[in-house]
Amino acid sequence: MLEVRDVDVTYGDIQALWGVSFSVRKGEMVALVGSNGAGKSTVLRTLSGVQKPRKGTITVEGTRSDTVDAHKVVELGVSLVPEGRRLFRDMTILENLELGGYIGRARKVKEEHLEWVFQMFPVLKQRISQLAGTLSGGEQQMLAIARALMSDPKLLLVDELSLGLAPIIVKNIYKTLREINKSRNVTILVVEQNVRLALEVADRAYVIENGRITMEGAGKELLASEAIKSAYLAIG
Amino acid sequence: MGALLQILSYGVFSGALYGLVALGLSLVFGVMNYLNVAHGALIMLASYTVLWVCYYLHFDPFLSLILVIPTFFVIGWILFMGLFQRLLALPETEKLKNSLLISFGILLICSNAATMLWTADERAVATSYTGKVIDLLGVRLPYIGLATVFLAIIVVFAVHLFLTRTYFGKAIRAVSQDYEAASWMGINTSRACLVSFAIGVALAGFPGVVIALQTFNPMVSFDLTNKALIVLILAGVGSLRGVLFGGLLLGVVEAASVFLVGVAYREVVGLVLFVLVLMFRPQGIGGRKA
Amino acid sequence: MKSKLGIASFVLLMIFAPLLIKSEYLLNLLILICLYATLSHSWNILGGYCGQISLGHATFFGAGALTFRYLWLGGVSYYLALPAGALASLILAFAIGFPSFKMKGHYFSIGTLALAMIALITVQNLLPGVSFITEACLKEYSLLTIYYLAFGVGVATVAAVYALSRSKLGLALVSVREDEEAAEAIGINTFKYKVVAMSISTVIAGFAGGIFAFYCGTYYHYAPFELGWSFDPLLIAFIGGAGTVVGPVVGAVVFVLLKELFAASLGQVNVLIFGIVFIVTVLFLPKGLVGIAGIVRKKDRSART
Repeated sequence: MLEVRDVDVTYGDIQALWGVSFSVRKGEMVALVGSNGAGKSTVLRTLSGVQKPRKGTITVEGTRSDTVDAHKVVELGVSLVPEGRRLFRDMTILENLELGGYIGRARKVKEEHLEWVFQMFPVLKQRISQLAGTLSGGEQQMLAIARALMSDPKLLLVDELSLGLAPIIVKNIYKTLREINKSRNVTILVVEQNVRLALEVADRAYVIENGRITMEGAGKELLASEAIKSAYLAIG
Repeated sequence: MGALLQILSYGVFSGALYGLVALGLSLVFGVMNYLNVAHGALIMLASYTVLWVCYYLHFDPFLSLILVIPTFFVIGWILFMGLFQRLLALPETEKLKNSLLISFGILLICSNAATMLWTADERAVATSYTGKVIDLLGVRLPYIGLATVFLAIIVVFAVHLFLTRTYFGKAIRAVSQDYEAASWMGINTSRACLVSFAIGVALAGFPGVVIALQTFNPMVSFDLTNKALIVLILAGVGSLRGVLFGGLLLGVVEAASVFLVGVAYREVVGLVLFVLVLMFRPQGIGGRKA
Repeated sequence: MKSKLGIASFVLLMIFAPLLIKSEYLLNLLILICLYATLSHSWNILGGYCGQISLGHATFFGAGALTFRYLWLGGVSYYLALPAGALASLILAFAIGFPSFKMKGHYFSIGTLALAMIALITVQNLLPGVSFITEACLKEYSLLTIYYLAFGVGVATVAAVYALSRSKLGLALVSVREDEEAAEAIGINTFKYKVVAMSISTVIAGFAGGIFAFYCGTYYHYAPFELGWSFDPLLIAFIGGAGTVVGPVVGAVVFVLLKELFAASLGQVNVLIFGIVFIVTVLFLPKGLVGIAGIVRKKDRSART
């Protein structure tokens, strides 16, 4: 459902992405892995619409998304869980969630989505009137994901969710993501620095290095590959 | 004792006015980090608008708000689309600097144009209740002063409701906290800024009415901008209720200083307080760090 | 080499012109141009080069004027009173200028505006009257002398700014303007350089104030503290080209000529026009009028290739 073709992205005179092409099929959970500065977040920023590519196309279920404003990309069904969460810290959990469901079609099903989200992350319901800035790291990440889901997305983009979180919390969140993927058929694209974790969780994965896609394959395969093992897993 | 209460009451009345004066400026600054120093000029223009509406249509000044507020909403809309929208794309410091400079230019243009069009003569709108007071426990409370306090409370409350109970209001708050993240919620951020700015300018209508009931001339633009800036800083960025308290604080401080250092230096005390706050607590009393 | 010759001949021309063209009107205009150019450059050093936009420069201008006037009317000769005025401004800078750097960015701007207003109101209350020129001083009053003084100060100022723009100090100032945090990170003591910029700036403003006090026969004591003296140099510097050597001079010429053109109108039409030009400059011509030459040169180059 997501087709990225030959995308170049530049920040001024510095080129960050070179001819990036990949795709994500409906219902899949795909990982984009690579080391720091490889260009992963740039890919997500471009997919979310705040960064426009200099060259190439991005299509979401047949509609071009690289030519529209960021807020329109959300209406196309693409929702981003940003790096660093980027919650509205001076607003309550409820307000953050309501803002997640800002677009027209999401407002209609607000109550239903709130219920679903509270089911997945009960702690959010407990602290519903608390300010987002006062939550713990794990709770903030959960809120960020819940907020992104409120817009009823077809494609959920998750940027570096493991940053700054304890491993057990990260594991649980990924478990929940898998559930969302399977039960609600939400296509998910995760960007992760923790290569092993990402490859274990995803159906398929792409490896990005220095702004270029260098490898592609099923999660388990890549996990077993020699190249990955030596470069990213410090084995061999 | 009676004199003290009297002075305090004047402090409250002028404080309510100051709160109204700063409201529009505070909103715009909080949402998109534009320091619109022309705000005082816009209030001055609103006062003149009230003047002409009352003169030609024989409206009561407070009634003229029905025309003045929408008019200034449109003026704000046009100003933003014409001058300020292009600044949205700039990096933060450039945005602030340029918005300061451009609005500074507008301040000069407006005050001079007003002087050319309407002369520097003092004006005022006289009504049947100008000068009438209620005598409460020996303290004289002017009708207009009470109306100002009333107006201030209603307007601040209305804006508060708008920002906390409506989707669009929450969107505006989101934009003020994190512009990018707001766009990821599907919020049309440039539209939100546009509307916020237009509302900010429209809010100039309220203090405009009160000023129109006192004497004014084009040069009040500078005084009003000054007051707005002081209250903005005292209140802190992003705190709308703080604006009311900041205004009251300034009003009471000024009133008290009349008591202590005499009328001549009334403004100086407020300004000194302002500079001190700027130096040591720029985030103000109520606000988060800018 | 050619430009140096051109500048030298221009300076010579300006020195001899008033002796050849005996026009009081011309002298007055030239004095005003020199005055505004000097004051604008004073602002320019702090605001254009160092990026600290002060909205209250009249404070230092006024301090210089006040000191000069007091000394001169008291019998001190003008060539001693002038540097005394500059010194007074510098002292004032120590008192309120340097502490004001505690306010960063836009807070600095509105803070300096507040300080200027405090100064204005204080002077209005302490010295409400008019400053009359005494008999003794009237004898000393010569438009030609004032012109040479103003021109001398102006040339010295432009030379100083030119030297600044070519120096390491100037580079440091610009780095503070561009990105204060980055400058700190590479080891530049931004506070120190801001202090230096303000020192030079206020000294020049003090000189300008002295010239004003020398030139204006009779004026309200608070006149040099008025808001206009804070705003005009800013406008001039920006429209001419903030952060350049030639900009404020060009701006001053345009400003004074416009003022002359609309001298009889109500409400200062020249400020109105200037305000519009100012906005246009901020939006479209970040380098001011001086930058137009650069744009034209660029278009020329690209047209040829």
